[in-house]
Amino acid sequence: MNEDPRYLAWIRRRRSARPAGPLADAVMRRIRLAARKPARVRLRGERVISGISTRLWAKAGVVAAAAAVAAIRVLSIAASLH
Amino acid sequence: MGEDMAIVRQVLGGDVDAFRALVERHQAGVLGFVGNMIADRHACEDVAQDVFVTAFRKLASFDPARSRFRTWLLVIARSRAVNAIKKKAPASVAALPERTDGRDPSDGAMWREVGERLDAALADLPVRQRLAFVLAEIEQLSHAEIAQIEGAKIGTIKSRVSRAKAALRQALKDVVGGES
Repeated sequence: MNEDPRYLAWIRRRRSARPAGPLADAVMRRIRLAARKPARVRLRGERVISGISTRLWAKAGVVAAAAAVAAIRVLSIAASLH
Repeated sequence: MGEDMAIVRQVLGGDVDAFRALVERHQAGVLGFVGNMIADRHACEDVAQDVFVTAFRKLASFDPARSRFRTWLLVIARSRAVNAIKKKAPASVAALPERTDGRDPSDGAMWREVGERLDAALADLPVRQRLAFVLAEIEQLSHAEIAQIEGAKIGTIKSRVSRAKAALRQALKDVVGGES
């Protein structure tokens, strides 16, 4: 079969068939998009500082501020009683 | 190969843009392989893109001692293409770009019939036979490389290629005025 010119022509056609396309541009765009994703997530507050995400740091900050306000109120009430 | 490895080291060193050179060096081979397996041109390009994006993600796992970069890429391409070829037939030869050298001995109606018969026979091959045939006869890889890509023994690959050729031979016989 390999000597059959029709088979050889078919194989040649298939070997030379190279669907064209801006593959490099598309691939690099996808790679850059994938690389940017973590940065976007970080902007939304999931960056890790000292092993703790900034979202947790923010929650801890709110709790600490609330505790400080409560402590000041308790202290001011205690001072007014004396 | 040496040039591929130099680029791989560059990319792994943090130069992401250097990966473009790898895509440009190997896109014809990957597109050719995938294009011979998947009919839909857009699907073919999507699969080819996936191959390179996956290659970028897994680049650190490429071992030049085990395979050529092209072979490693074709392992990824094979796995990406397998899912697609289960659903789609290979591109019809009639839909492939026309040759312009004028040396094709099989122009006209007979060529169309031969092309259609061989296309149909290729589409009807079991996936593993089709992969082995495309890699051996169209991509012209050695049986050893195909065995590496397929994770099979060389004898198994030879047998798959041989069975695929037998099926195509039969298809050619069926064409009116067949010469084989």
